[in-house]
Formats: sequence, C-alpha cells, structure tokens
Amino acid sequence: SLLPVYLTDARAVTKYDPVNAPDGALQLSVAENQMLEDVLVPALRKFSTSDNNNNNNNNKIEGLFEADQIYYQQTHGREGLRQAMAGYLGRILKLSPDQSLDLEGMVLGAGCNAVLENLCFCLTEPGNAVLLPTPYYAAFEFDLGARAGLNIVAVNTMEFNGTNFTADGGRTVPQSCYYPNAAALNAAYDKAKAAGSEPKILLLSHPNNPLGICYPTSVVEECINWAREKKVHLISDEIYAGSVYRKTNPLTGEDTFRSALTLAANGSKTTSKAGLGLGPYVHIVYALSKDFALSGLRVGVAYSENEAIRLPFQKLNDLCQISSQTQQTVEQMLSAKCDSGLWSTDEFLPENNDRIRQRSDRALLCMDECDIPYLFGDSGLFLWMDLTEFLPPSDDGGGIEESEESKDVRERILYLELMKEFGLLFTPGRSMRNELPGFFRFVFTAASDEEFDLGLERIKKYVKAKRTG
Amino acid sequence: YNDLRGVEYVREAVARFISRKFIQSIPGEVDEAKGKVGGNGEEKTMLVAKAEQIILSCGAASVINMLSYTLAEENDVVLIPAPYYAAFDFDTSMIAKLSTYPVHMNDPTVGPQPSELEAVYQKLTSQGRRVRILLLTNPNNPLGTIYPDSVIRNCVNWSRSKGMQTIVDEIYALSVHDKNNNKFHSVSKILNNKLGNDVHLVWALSKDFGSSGFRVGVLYTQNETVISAAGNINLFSGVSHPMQAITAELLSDDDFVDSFLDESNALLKASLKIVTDNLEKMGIPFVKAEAGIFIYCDFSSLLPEDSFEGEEKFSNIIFQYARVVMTPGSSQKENRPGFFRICYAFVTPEVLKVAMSRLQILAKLLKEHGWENVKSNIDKDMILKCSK
Repeated sequence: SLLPVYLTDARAVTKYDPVNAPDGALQLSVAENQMLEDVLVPALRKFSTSDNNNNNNNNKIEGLFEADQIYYQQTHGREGLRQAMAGYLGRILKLSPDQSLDLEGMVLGAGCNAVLENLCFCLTEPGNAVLLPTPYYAAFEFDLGARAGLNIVAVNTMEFNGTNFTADGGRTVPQSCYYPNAAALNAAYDKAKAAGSEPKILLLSHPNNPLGICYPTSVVEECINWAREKKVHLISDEIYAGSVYRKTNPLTGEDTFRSALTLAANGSKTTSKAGLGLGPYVHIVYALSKDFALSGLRVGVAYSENEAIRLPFQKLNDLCQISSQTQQTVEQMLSAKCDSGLWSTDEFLPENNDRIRQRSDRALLCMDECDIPYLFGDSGLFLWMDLTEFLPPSDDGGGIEESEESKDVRERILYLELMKEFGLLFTPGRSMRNELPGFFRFVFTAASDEEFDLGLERIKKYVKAKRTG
Repeated sequence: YNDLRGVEYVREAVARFISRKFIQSIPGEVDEAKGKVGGNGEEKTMLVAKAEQIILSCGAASVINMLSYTLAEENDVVLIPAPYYAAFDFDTSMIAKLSTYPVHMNDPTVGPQPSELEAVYQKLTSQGRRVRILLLTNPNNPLGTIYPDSVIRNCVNWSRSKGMQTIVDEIYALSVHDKNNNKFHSVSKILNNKLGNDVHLVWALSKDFGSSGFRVGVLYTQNETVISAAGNINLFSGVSHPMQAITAELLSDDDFVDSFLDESNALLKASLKIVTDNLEKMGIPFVKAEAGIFIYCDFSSLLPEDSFEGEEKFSNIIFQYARVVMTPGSSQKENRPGFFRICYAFVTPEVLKVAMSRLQILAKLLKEHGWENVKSNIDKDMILKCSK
C-alpha cells in the first residue's frame, strides 16, 4: 500500500462530528486552512464573473469566458496569469523594485506536485538522490519517487548542530538543531554517493513544514552557496510564503522570512537579461493550496532561470496544464484591487495571517499552560510540539543508541493513544522522518472554531490524565 | 483536496453522460443494483458507467500518459494504426517511456485487420520487443473515418489473444457530421459495456465541445488496478474543482448538449463541403470524412518528385506562396508521400474559402508550368488576388 501507516491508522477511527460523533477524533493532521471560507467563497465568485479589464463598471458580464480561453493555451500558462503571478510573487517574496522575474522561466501547472515532479524530470535521472532536511513533508517520498524514481536521502541535522538530544531528559530541541548546514549537507551528500545514488537536488521547505518556522537568512545562504559549489540544484518549496504570520523577529527586528530567490539573486555570472541572475542551480516552487487554501484549484508555480531546462520544462507542462478558466479566475484574483492596494496581498493575506496568528497565540498559550515544549512558530499552519514526556519507556533503554524501529514503535503507541483514547489526531513526527520520536505537528488551522476549542480542551485533559494517572 | 480521480458528483454526472451518449443505454433498461435477468434467464449486462470507473484528468493527453504509465513498462511498444495523431509519440513516451510503432494498412480507411496487426507484432517480438498496447482512434484522426463495429471487435479480440491492452481514443465520438449516420459505435456499446480489464475508453471536452483550453479529459475503465493507480498518480494531473463543476453542469444539460452537437456538426459539415468542393475542382483525391474536424487529402500528383523530400518541397511552396499550412502526412507516420491533413474547422468558412482558392490557384500554376518554372510564374500579388 502506498499509504503511510499513520494514515491507515487514522482512517480506522471515527472522526468528530458535533451531532453524530461528539467523541470522534479531531482531525488536526492535514495541512489545510479551513478558516477562510467566509472570505474566499464570495471573493472567488466575484473573480469568476468579473470583467477582465475592470473597465465595464455598469454592465456586469455574466460569466468569465473570453473566446481565446476555449482553445489550446500556451503550454506553460497564459501570459496574463504568468504576469499576475510574477507580480504577486514579487510582493510576497519581497523582491526589490528593480528586480523582476523572467516570465519565460515561470511555469504554471496543475498543483505544486505536478510542477515539482516535472522539475525533477528535467534535472535528474531515475536513481538520483534528493537531499531533504528532516523532518519533512511525508508526501515528498511519493511526489519524487512515484514516477521520477528519485531516492530521498535524509539530511539529519542534530549531530551537526553541536548537541545530541535524547528522547527523555526534559529538555526540548531548540530550532537551531533543525538547521541544515554544510556539515550536515556534506554528510548526506556523501551518504547518497556511497549508496550509488548521485545527489542532484537539495529540497528545502521554507517556510518549513512541519516545523512552522522560517530558516534564518544565514541558513538559506549557506544552503545556496553549498548547492552552487557542489553543483546540486536547490529547490526552495516556498508554498507557505504568504502565511508568515509573524513577520518580524522580536529580538533582531529583521524579517523572519527571506525567500531563496532574493538571497540567491545576482549570485551567478549569467548572461540572461531578464530575471534575477539566479543561475542554473536555484529554483522555487509555490502554489495557492496553502496561502489561499485553494488546494482544489490545482494551481502550482515553478520558477527557474536554468536555460538548459527551459524548453523541456515548458513542454512537459503540456501534460498538466491548468484549465484556462481557472487560470483566468486566478489572474483576476491576483490583480484585483482593493482600497488599500491589491486584494490578494493587501486585504486577503493580512486577514488570513491575522486569523492564523490568533489561533497560534491560543495554541501556544495552551502549550504553556500544559507545560508542553514547542517551537515558537512564525509561519505555516501548524505547531511543532514536543510530547516526548508521554512516550512509553523504551525497551532498549532509549538514548542515542535507540534503534530506529524502537523509536517508531514508541511513537506509534503515543500516536494511537492520542487518537483513540483522547480523540486527537496530530501528524506523528516519525512519519516525517524526524530524528527523534515523540514530536507531533498540530495543524491548528484545520478545524472550525468549535473544533479548535475542543482540541485545546482535549490536550489539557490528556496532559492532566497522563501526569496524574 | 478531494478524490484525486475527480469530485464524486462530477464523476457521477460524467458517468451518466457516457452512459447516455456512448454506451447509449436506454433509461429504465437497467437495474441499478444488478443486471436485469431476461425472460430466458440470461443476465443482462449493466449498461451504465459507474462513477468509480470514471477518472478526470487535465486533457486526453494526460489520460493517455496515465494509461501508458500504468499499463506498460518502459520500452514496451504501443501499436498505432498509421497515419496517426503526431502527439501520441510525446504522450506515451515523455514520462511513461514507451515506444510507438506504426501499423501500416492496405486500406487505412477501413481500419487495421488482425493479419496486419499480427505481422507487425511478429516482427517486433522477434526483435525481442514486448508489444503491450494497441491504441486505436475512432472516429479516426487524421482520416475522419469511422471504423465499422467489426474492426473494433476484431482488434479487441486480437489484442486479447495476445494478452495486450487496448486503448480506444474516442475524442471525436460526438462529431459525426450527419445526424442520420449511425455507423459510429463506441467500443463501450460494441462490447455491451463489458470492457473487462483490458479495454479503456478515452474522451475529452477538447474536440466535440471545441474547448481544448479547459483541459478536461475523461478515462472510462473497468480495470480496478488502473482506477486505484489513477487515484494516486492523478495527483500530478487533476482538473481544478471549478472546472469540474462546470463540466458536470455542462454534461448534465441534455438539451443543451444535444442541440449544441447538432449545430456543431452541421457547421462542420458545411465547412467540410467547402473543402471537398474545391478539392474536386482541383482534381485532388481525398478520404471521405464522416466525422471529426479534418480531411485527409492526396496531393501526390502535385509533388515535384514522389518522395518525402518532394512532400517537404510542396509544403514549403504552399506555405511560401499560398500562405496555407496543412499537416504533412510524414509527421503522422504516413508511409506514402504527398498526403496532407486539412483542419478545416480551425478557421471561419470565409477564411477557409480564401485558403482553398489560393490552393486552387497554386495547383493550377503547378500543373500549367511545372515545378521548374513555377516560381517565375507566381505573381508576387498572387496572395492579394486570391483574397478578393
């Protein structure tokens, strides 16, 4: 079966329903933002019917169909959409006024999975390796392995960040321990080579899933430099770039999120006139699935300035093009104006980030009240919790020498206990190849207000039961 | 996120549409739970497509890619009766890495005979190749012809005898020009909706509904392994939900669908007549097209030499002087030089008339002056003259 164990487990349990299954499990393990229907649905209806050029104020056009939409489109996406998306990305990735994306380097396809897979087809051969810092989005294993045939080689970071942590001891892992550095990357690189799998890609999730944090500028820069030196392709998956709900570091006053594009810009001697001077080794992928909660629209974006793959990458998109009508709707959405500027970045995203932050604040308060350690999140839809306190004791004594299997077994016991006895479904860290057992991702946006409140109550109940029990 | 094969109510609507227009089941004839048992005890096949047997992907190209990936291994061969739609090579090879092999026929308009398939099969197998899929297009591109039921049946039987899979691309199914022409039957109807595990039907909105930009492809299969696989890999090729909603609404509007197709086919027929009238005046033979959006013509009498180089020279001349582009047969694996496909529905009838009269004039000049002299006899203003 292609389904990870934890998902099979999750399917076996009844889900919460306020009327029919009040004791059912709260599904808090799928990275979706369910808080925005009241804003999105009316907006999308408007964008699907509004006039193209906003110059037809009096006569409302019934539907949004231009004649050219019904025919074959440009393979890599309608030009109008690529322009609108380039403008949008320029704003959320904070390109400077003199920087602009090369429209011909942009490909719009049916979801982040589709464009990422095609990027891999262009950059690799089956059997090559993709280096991925742990923990990582579990479905990458399917996305990169299913047809592209790539091996994922985990970049473990903890031993290269100065300290070793054990599953007990009451300390929690500081976020710096999750940062990939040259030493960690080299170790993974060598491991891939030793296994006969040529390392071709370094895939960063930035802002990071599942940690809910942005890598600091220095970390991203180190990755870019390492990748260019080793001639490994850095793909920065910035799918949560619009969900950075804590934009400034309270201590340093700096931006929490700096896109790999801005940090890699002008870093390569290149003759291309358009674009950021990224050279051939830095690429990003993005989608509307998270920031706009529009996973159902299947709108993914890839951006690369690698000239060698440009044509094949565009051509491969033939097999996963976005419906023209959807492209048009999205173009409307990204260009739509509002009082304060542009609806997407000046009205919608701020409101979205506000709601995420409010949930985050309450979730963190709950963590503090329950004395559960966590990573102080600034982005994404989730919270990385340390529940190692509640892991069953290990058979072989735990500690650094604990076997991978033992870690999996212990965490699964905890996972099932949370799910079956306390009605809480979190994403287990080991399913995301976390080095240590007992860490869980709490997607606090994947619930109605009522479900979220109930979730916090159940967490408190759990903690109380475990400590007094 | 929802079911990767398509939102359920949309697949239901598409299944109902397939049942009505392809399987052509009559409402009330079918018991939803089981097949009806006839008077003589014989169990009647369920003549409806089920929602779970429908997969929506972004275009027929994507469906062909998905089938290629799930039904065969890298380097396996797909047999395709030639001439055929050029992009099949891309769709089957880019990701799935299959090879295509053309099956040339004695009479392509009649369709492939088992003996012709067998000959190619033996040849490839003796070279150590594994022949895995037979890909048919009916109504046919580029010929515009309709395979008789017997051809479809014989092909499926032959394919089954070899343990092969059969894909039938019926993307032009609803573009049969003459309302009274009952020759076309979907493979789903011919097989009484028993597709088994080895026959797969491909369709899309792109041609019959002239909406290639929407990227809505349909796979109808009863093979549960394919359905299950599609439920995973269609992650890379899903149709956006709003587009799915539009599709459901469109295909559920029986009155609109039927009247739209009637009008569309009448227009196609009228444009086709413009082409055939002109070809007849030019003395250019052509395949009598009964369906689709193109006509297949034999311009070999106008070539400077009977070769593909001659075909290319002819192509260049008509482009340079008549400013007309036709699809050369060589790009569609035609094995005889001089054949061209004219897609007459890509332009308005008015533009089509201009194109055909330019071709007529050019053909006349070629016949009168011969190739050596034609360039000096082509008036620089020829194009302007033609447009008047």
